Amino acid sequence: MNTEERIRHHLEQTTAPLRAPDRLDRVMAEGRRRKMRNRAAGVLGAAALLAAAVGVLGALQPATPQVADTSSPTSLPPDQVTSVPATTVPVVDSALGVVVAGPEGIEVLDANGSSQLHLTSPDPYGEIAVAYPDGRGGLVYQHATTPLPWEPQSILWLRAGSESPSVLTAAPEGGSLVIVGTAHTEEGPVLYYLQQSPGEADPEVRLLATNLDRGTTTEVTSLGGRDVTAGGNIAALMDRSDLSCTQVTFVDISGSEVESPLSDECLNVATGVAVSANGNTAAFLNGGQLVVRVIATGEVVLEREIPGAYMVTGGQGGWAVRTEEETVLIGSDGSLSSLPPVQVGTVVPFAVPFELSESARLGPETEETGLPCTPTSGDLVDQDLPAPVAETRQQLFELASACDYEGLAAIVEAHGANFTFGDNSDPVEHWVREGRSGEEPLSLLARLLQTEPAYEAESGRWVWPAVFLDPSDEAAWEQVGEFYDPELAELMRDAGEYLGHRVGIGDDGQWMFYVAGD
Amino acid sequence: MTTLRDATQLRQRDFPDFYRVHHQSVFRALAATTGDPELAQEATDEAMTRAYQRWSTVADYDNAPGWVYRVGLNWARSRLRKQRREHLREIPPDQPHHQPLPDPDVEAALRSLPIEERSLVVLRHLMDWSYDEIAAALGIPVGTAKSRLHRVMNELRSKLEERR
Repeated sequence: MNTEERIRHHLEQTTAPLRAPDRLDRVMAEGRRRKMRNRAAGVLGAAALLAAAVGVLGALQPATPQVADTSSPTSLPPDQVTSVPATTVPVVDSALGVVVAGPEGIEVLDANGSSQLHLTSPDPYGEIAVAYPDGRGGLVYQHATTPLPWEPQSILWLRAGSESPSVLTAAPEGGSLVIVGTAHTEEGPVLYYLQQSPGEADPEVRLLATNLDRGTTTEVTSLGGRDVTAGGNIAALMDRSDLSCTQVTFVDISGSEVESPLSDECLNVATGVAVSANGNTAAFLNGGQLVVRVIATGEVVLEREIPGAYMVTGGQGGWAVRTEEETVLIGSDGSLSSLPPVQVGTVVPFAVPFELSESARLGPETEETGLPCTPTSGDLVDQDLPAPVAETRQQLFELASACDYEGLAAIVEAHGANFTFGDNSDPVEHWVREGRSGEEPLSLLARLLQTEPAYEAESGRWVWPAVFLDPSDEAAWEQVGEFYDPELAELMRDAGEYLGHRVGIGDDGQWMFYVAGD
Repeated sequence: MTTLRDATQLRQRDFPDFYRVHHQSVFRALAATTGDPELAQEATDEAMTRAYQRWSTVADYDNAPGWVYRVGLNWARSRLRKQRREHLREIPPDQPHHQPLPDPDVEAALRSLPIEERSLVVLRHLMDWSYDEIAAALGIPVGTAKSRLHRVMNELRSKLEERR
């Protein structure tokens, strides 16, 4: 083994056992918080000045998209190309607008940018990661944090006319699900999604297709390290191992390779690729240059310069192209619309009107019971505490024992920066994540406040349970064993260190922490 | 290796997908570079948060994971400097891992390098990145990346020979 091989082997062996916990929710919550802070500090001020300068009437007019038409064909639609045998599907009308999914839920905008429908879910389930039209007047979508009692990453289906969603498919335990998109086929609308199963050293990612009318699911193909986009009966698999030369292979819904002259080309598509919802055409975005080509023939049907374009999505009857300043909706009739920009989430064109009401819910039937908490019985026994400490203790106990998440979150906010979690995310989101691991953080908080505290003079704070500060206190360990997982409590006791949940209140009554771990 | 990166890169503008695909590899690269998995975890979180803040820009980078790695490395170095200044906690470059080391001699040789040089080795030999990608990630010219890595590998080679 030469030096390079030896070093590589050592690095791989050393890092292979390391696993970073998935803290996506926390990262995004903190990122959003910072963005809002920045916005509040500067952007809103700039926006107000701009609005004043432009005038209200000007702001109400639909903006003209910043698009330069560099093509000879002015309109050759993804949904009107009909000479492609493998992918012929019913023609649909040009896009009516877009479905936007993001931190504010799901919003349907018409081609003028007017909001037609806005569906939300209460915090902490408000953020929707992705949403696509189902082609029948409904939606399929995934939450950023899937509400209980659904399994994480469940794909949900809000059907036309329905007031509440159902689970279309759930991830295998410990596995992953990601929606790729929805499509039209002759057999009805299809949902494409990726599934990664756990339990293997090198788990394979598989592309699956569910026919939404029939409820049947088929495995299209394994990705083998390639990227994927899909529409109609076609999935485009891209090998991006060479960044300057993307090789695209097309397969049909059964996984058989579909011939296309595009497969013989070396494509420079640094920014993105999308397949139309009927699978007839593919859009290639490189920098601000959008080129739409027929998959079967390679013919260019649309070519446009869209300054600053960084993402293209195919949907029913058109394409949505995103820039920092706007979302450009390109309809299959060649129409162009400028819609508001979308920074986070997904934007997908739709052509079949939605049959959903504003009262349709994205979350579970009973939001409250979705949060993990069993109301705690019993009262607090008086303890020898300073009055402000006793008051806060009582307040926390009442809220926690009543499973009042929002009430506790309000206290967290009121106590501001002096409150610390194990992490810095939104408190309710944090507790819901703990709940997912089988704990009931609010019930536990109430139970902790029923134990004896210890006082840390150096920092001027009271801590429950006392064993955190004094691991030699046998009586305190006994109290922990009454409500903590007995095996875990025993392990901590053997280790001589309590690392379970504990609560801290300062001398002045400030709630300082409710954390676990080291 | 097949990962969700490739599966989802067509929705590559989607930060959650990017995170799920890359946070482990960035974390491992930072852990290998800093020798401190805990610090690497924090650095990964911080760098991913910053990536999310300016995602519409970062997603366009040719090597977005490289950008995240660099941000994480800078943050970790800053944290290490601060800790040393405050004498709160010294994280020596040879802090042991909590596991048997596959090759203690290699580990010792790597730990003897400054963190900047160690990162070159990690990106090349753990992450398998090209010189272009390494240069972009570390914000240095490609030629500099090549020459530095060449020099560092020579140094490591002699150190390992001395230990025989």
